[in-house]
Amino acid sequence: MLYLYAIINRPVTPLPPLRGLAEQAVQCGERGDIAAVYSQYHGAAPRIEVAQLWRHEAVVEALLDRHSVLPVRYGALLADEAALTMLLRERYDRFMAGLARVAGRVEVSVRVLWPATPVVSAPRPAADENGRAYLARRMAEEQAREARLREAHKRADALHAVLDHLAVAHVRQVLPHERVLLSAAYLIPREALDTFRVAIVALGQANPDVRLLCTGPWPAYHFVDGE
Amino acid sequence: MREHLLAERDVTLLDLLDRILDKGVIISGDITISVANVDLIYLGLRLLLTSVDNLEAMRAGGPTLRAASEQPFHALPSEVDQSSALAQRPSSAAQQPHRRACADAAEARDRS
Repeated sequence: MLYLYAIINRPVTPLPPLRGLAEQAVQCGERGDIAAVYSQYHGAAPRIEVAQLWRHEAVVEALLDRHSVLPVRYGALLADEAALTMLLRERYDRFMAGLARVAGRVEVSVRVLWPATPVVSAPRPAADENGRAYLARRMAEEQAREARLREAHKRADALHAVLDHLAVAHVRQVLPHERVLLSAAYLIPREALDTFRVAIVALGQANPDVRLLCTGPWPAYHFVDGE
Repeated sequence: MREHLLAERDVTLLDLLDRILDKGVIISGDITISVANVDLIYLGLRLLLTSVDNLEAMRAGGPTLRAASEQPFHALPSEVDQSSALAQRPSSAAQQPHRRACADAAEARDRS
């Protein structure tokens, strides 16, 4: 079987001597202006182990400097070279469009942590709480939750606006977790990395109550749309 | 510094898992990851997030740490003990993605 890492644009420059999963040599299968990067694979399906995940990622990143790269999700196996050829033929136009979209661009991850607020602590219901008091208490809890949500969106929008200005595309989630105000991925031109980093630091200095955690550059995982 | 290393590694791993298991080109019919395994991984994600929270709590009462963000964006902080960093990562240098750094604005702020 073949284990697939990425789709890249041609011409393929000589690949560095990479070893993929199970120490197999990394190879290319080409068609027209694109190529699939893979290695031979035998045995049971790849397991989810951190070392294996990094191995996949290392192969993909080794391609980033010289190619446009569509990273393939971990765990993709094809039966043989014929299946690979069919994949490239059937999805040729989509892969070409995807490669054009990510050309010269990288992905940066941003997470913004903000202080956890204490759980809304409405007064404990009295033993003789009547219906009216109960409803008032529930309403107060709901209003507190809504206020928190409004505040989150307001803060997240302000932070996002600064970073989005430097990006050509983004995906983001506001409050995916009680402690995470914003979780976002930005697709930025490679040459804008330094500017982006400076913007992150400046945002942190201007917003002392939050922590910004930023990693990158990554292959454009969030911007390949499944292809 | 050890806590700093741990957090950086955790956040980067969190971001890797978020991408490599859930995003990217899908080869339909050939996805081999079982649902049970993915569930385990996402349980792991929550634990990682918790460890970041814990780190912050420790830092609040601890010494100021060096700002990773003052280092090149795609390099390990030079102050980090490279040998121990590698010890916690995949075994072969060839496996190492060349970029692994967190720009942590909070730390930059602490130093200023």
